[in-house]
Amino acid sequence: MKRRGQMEIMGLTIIVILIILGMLFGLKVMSKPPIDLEQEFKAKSMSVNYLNVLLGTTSTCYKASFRELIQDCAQGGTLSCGIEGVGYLNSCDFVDFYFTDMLNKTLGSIKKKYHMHLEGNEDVQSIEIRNPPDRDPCPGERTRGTQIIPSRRGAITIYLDLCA
Amino acid sequence: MKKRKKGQIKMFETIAVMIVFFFLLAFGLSFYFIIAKAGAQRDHERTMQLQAIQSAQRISTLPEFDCIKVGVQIENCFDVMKVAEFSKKMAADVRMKDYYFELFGFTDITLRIIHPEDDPIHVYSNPRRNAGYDLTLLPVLVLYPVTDTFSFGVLEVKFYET
Repeated sequence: MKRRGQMEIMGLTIIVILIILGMLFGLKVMSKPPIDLEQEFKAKSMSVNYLNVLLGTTSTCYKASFRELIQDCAQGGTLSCGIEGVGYLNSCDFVDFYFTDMLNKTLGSIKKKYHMHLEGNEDVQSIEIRNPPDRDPCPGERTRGTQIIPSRRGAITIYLDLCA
Repeated sequence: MKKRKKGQIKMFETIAVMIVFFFLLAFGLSFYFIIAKAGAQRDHERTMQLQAIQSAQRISTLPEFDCIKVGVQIENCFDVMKVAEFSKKMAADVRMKDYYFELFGFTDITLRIIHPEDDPIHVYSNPRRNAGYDLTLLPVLVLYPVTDTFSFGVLEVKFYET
């Protein structure tokens, strides 16, 4: 009888140990991995690089850079330039058209999801590019690149989110 | 007779418990190994990607390709004339490939000019046979010194597994 009791206690101990091990393993799996600062920095510098290069590119619209076209867009979009097969567009739509094309040919070609949007006045807010276009591309983690462009009607902030 | 039957039932009970225990153990272990394998694969891919980004960034600062304006180097910029000349020499001279192997290793490097569109320039090609690769696109400005304009380009780096 005594021996049977000992056996039961042993069995109970093993079950408790197994449950604890299972819980520890579950916690380890569920907890997020530690953020590597170097990796985080490199991912962030990639989105900032994209913004720098996009803004520094010379457009076919009066040879103005895209940075200058965004400034014009913020100031009412006085410039108007033609695109073959599309027609004449103001600076806001011109920037939207070519940024969509350039991002689609680079990030889109490697199936990378992204979201670009601008903050400032109403005119610049019309420029918004998403991949995929029909829903929020980054419901989870994202690395954000930011650039600030000065304009006569206040600063414009441009964001590029690269989804994880 | 009755005692013997009771002993048999007890034995079956013990065996059943052991079977359930080992089944749970095997299930737990296989679950653990699947997760561990996926994690290791993800880490490996990320490391490869970072190495590819590092080598792409190293390339973009080389004086062989850089853009200089008023004596100052422009960040993330490739002079199209320098790159085209480098590509021509690389194709003609085998020793040059050996020289740059130390720097580029087993990689394929191509400069793609996206806007306004232009022909791609193959900078360096040294693929490793039967090895997987990680593709990294580094956005760069491409300077056309004659017209003094900047195009939007990407440096496509295929980094082969070592």
